Amino acid sequence: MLTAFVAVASAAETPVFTVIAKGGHLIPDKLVIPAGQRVKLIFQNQGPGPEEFEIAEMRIEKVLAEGAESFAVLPPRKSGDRIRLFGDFHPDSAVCNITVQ
Amino acid sequence: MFTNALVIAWRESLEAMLVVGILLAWANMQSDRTRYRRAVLFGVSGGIACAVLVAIAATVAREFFSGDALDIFQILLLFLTWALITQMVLWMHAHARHLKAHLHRQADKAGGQLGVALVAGFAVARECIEMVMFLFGAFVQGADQGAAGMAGGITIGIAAASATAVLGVRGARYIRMSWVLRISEGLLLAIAASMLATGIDRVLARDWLTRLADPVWDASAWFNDMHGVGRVFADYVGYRAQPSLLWLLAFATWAALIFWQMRRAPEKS
Repeated sequence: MLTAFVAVASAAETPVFTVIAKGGHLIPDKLVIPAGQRVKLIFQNQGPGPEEFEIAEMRIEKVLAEGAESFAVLPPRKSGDRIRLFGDFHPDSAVCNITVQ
Repeated sequence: MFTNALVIAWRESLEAMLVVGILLAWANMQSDRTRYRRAVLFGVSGGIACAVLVAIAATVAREFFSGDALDIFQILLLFLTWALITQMVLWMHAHARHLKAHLHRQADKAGGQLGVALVAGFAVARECIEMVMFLFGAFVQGADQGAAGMAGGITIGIAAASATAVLGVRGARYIRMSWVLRISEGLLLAIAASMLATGIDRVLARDWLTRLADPVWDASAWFNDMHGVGRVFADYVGYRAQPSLLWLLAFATWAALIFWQMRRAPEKS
C-alpha cells in the first residue's frame, strides 16, 4: 500500500485524495482538487454493506464490498469545475462535492 | 429512493436487455429459431449465475477478490463483450448475405449458437454484478427500510427493462426483415462502441495507459457529453466531447476493421 502510494506520487506527481464511505455517508463531504493535472482518488468502503462510488458525468463507477478499496485517476479538469461524487447505493446521503481550483 | 433505484436499475440493465432483445429478435428470423433462442436463454442464465458468483466472491472472499480484482474483472468483461459483439455483428452480416444459399453447415451453426450464448451471457453478467452486489448486501444486512425499498425498485426496474426489450422484439415483427437486420446490426455496433469508450475510460482511470494527447478537441460547448441528449449519446454510442488521442485511434481502428470486413463479406462463400 505505502510503496504503491510512493511509486505513484513520485512517478507523475499525481495528488492523491482519499474518500471513505461509512454508514451511508462519504467522508469528507467536500473536496478541493487542483486544476490542470491528473488527480488520484482512493475509495475505501468501511460499510456497512457494499457501496458504489460514482461520478456520473465522468462515467466513473467503482462498486466495492464492505472493507474493500480501489482508486480512480481523474483526467485534468478546468478551474471552477464542480464534480459530484456520490455513493450510488445511498444516493441521498452519500455525497462528496468536489471543486476544482 | 424507490423511484431513484427503479430508474437506475432500468437504465443500467437496459443495455443488457437490449442485447438480449436484439439476439432474440434475430433468432426469431432464423430457420432453426428454437436452437438460437435456447442459446440466448442459456447465455442469460449463465450470465446471471456468473454475476451472483462474482458478487458472493466480492463480499465473502474480499481478501482474494477485493476492489481492484473486481474492477479488473469488470474491465476484462467489458472488452470481451465488445470484441464478441463486433465478431457477432460481422458474422450476422455475412450470415444474412448468403442466407438463401448454403449457410447451413453444422460447424457454422454451432459457432453461431456459441457466439449468441456468449454475447448474451457476458452482457448480462457485466450489468448484473453491481445490482446483485447491492441486493446481496441488503439481504446480508437484514434489509433496513430504505434498502428494502431500493431492492424493490431495482427488481421492478429490471422487470421494466425486460418489458421494454420484449416490446421491442414483438414490435420487430411488424418491420421488414431486412430492416430488422440492419437495425439490429446498428444497435449492436452502437452498444459495442459505448463499451469500447467505457473500457478505455476505465483503463485510463486505473492508469494503465496514457491518453497520448488530451483533449484533441473540445466540443463540450456545442454538444456536452455530461447532460441531456449528449449524455445519452455518451452512454449508448460512446460519444466523448473531449476525446483523447487514444480514444480517437481506438475508434478509427475499430471502425476501419468493421468497414473492411463488411466489404469483403460477399465474396467469401
